[in-house]
Amino acid sequence: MKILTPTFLTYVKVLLIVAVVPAIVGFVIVLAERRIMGFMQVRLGPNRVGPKGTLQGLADLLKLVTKEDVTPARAEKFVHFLAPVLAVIPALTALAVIPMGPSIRLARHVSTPLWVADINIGLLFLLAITSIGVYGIILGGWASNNKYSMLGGLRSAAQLVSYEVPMGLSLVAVLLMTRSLSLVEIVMRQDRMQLWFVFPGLLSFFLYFVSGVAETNRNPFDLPEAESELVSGFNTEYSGVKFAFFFLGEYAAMIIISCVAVTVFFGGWLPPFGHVKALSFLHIVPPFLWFLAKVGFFIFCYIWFRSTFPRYRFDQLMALGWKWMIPLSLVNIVIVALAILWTPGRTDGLVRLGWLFGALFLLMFFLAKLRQALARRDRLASEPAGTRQSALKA
Amino acid sequence: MSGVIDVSVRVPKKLTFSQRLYLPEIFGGLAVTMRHLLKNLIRIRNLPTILYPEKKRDYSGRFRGKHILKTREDGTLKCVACYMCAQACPADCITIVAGEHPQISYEKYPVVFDIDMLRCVYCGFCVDACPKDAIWMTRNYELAFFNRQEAVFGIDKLREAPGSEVKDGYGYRPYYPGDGTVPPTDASTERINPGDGERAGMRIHGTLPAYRPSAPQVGGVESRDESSEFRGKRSLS
Repeated sequence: MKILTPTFLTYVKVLLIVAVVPAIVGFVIVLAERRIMGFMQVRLGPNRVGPKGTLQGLADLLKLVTKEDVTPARAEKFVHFLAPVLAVIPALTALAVIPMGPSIRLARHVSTPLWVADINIGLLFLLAITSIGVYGIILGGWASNNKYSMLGGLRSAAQLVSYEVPMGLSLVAVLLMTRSLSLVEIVMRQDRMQLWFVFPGLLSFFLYFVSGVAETNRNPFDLPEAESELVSGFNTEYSGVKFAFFFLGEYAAMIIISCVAVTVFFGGWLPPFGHVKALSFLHIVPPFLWFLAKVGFFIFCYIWFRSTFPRYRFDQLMALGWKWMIPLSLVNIVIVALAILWTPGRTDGLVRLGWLFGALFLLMFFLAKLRQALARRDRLASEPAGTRQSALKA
Repeated sequence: MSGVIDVSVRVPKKLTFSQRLYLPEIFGGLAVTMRHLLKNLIRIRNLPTILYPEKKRDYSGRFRGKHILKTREDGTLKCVACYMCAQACPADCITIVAGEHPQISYEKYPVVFDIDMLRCVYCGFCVDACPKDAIWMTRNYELAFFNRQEAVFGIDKLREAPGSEVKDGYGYRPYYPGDGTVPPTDASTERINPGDGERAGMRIHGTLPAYRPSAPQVGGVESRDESSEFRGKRSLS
């Protein structure tokens, strides 16, 4: 088994990531998105190509590849070509540090971990490399020589700058608990502490995921490609394979955000409540599948958000970022730090913080329910049945 | 309320605390979409979407689609090229060229009978105007063309082929009160409720019931046969 050297295995893993992720994007996520959104909007979604529409991705791919690749006459040719590449490569690169599972044994004496690289600045590397992705959008918008594209690119730049901050700060709160930037170490620590960081870091997670949605330019923060205002935003002048690259970049960024959310807040490949004896049967499921399931859930959340929320106005977006997210994330750091100092050397303080967040969350849920019930009662009381207004509202 | 228009002004309400808190409303919105997803996944057949080319909505028996030129039993057109339909046509889309029929009893017949399907407004006046019951309409609304010349349907496309089934069934056609014909709606229309989905209101293409005029009623009512040539359509007296 000379051939299965670590170097060789690394190459294999890199190839797998580069080959498999686009395939998953094209065939699974896009189809899932369109069908789930279809059902949420009381329609069917694509169901023609292949059984139940499963080959839709292939059809889309063929369409995009065979389409004419137009470069506008007065575009900046090289940058126009460079931009979609810049959108995809960083997103795929960032996947290198994501730990997708513990070591697996390939043969006797040969085992390999399910990550390409475990570098000690993993999280920092991730933030740095994913921020490069926005250059693709900005450059694409600028090089197209089109005012709509330009505006889309500008919006993207402003949005990215605003939301990088709360994202980084929300991860700082987690770093206080992990004391390591290595993503593998973060997962291991959650295993040792017998605590997923989402419990003490509920607010962190919330801030992180909202910023993540904004970073990936997805609804309700998809202002760079707001169809109603900017035609199609930064990718107006793109077609064919280049457009497919932008598309792939956006979805790969979604995968990255979901992967980091899972790794940092939801215990990576660990099964839920793995230390509870009664739930030890959950260990039967391979760790990699746990990881995949969790990532899938967050991708689903992206789709769910997309079909639920209307788009923000630009000033609202900025106000949310600067007036709410950044102060909240700063306050969150203080809260988490205090919880750690509450019981130095032990995790009790963090657990208590987790309970507190959970209680607040439940309280909010019941408040919302109560308010809905009250509003409904008021509405029914104020308008007797059968009148014009109640008929209109029904 | 009858006759009185309600002009009450609705002032937008001030947002409540939880609405200004934003988050409960966000989760409320998420719950709505999730409820839709689960409901539609579990009862997928109740979705109002129709898988169109395979399944079609069952339109009314009075639907005004493509025209059809009725034929006699020997296969010749009932049309006698009287130009009444062309006169009645508000869109001026019917072109007829009359000719002398070799068989003496038929006298006139249309050498050319063109309907420009792009000009036609599908009002059905031609059907009303026809004294010979020679032009009916069908429920076929799938009229797509590659160019404008193709949209002009001649006799070959309009005539009813004897013995073969009419695409989508007959639509708007004469109904003479009291002469024994059945109102078209009775035979082939059923109510379609939006949301009944695949279960109701749609049939697999080609299973629409054939139009069958009822047997002549006994006593006093004139039967519709070809011998009463110049009978007016509606009672002229």
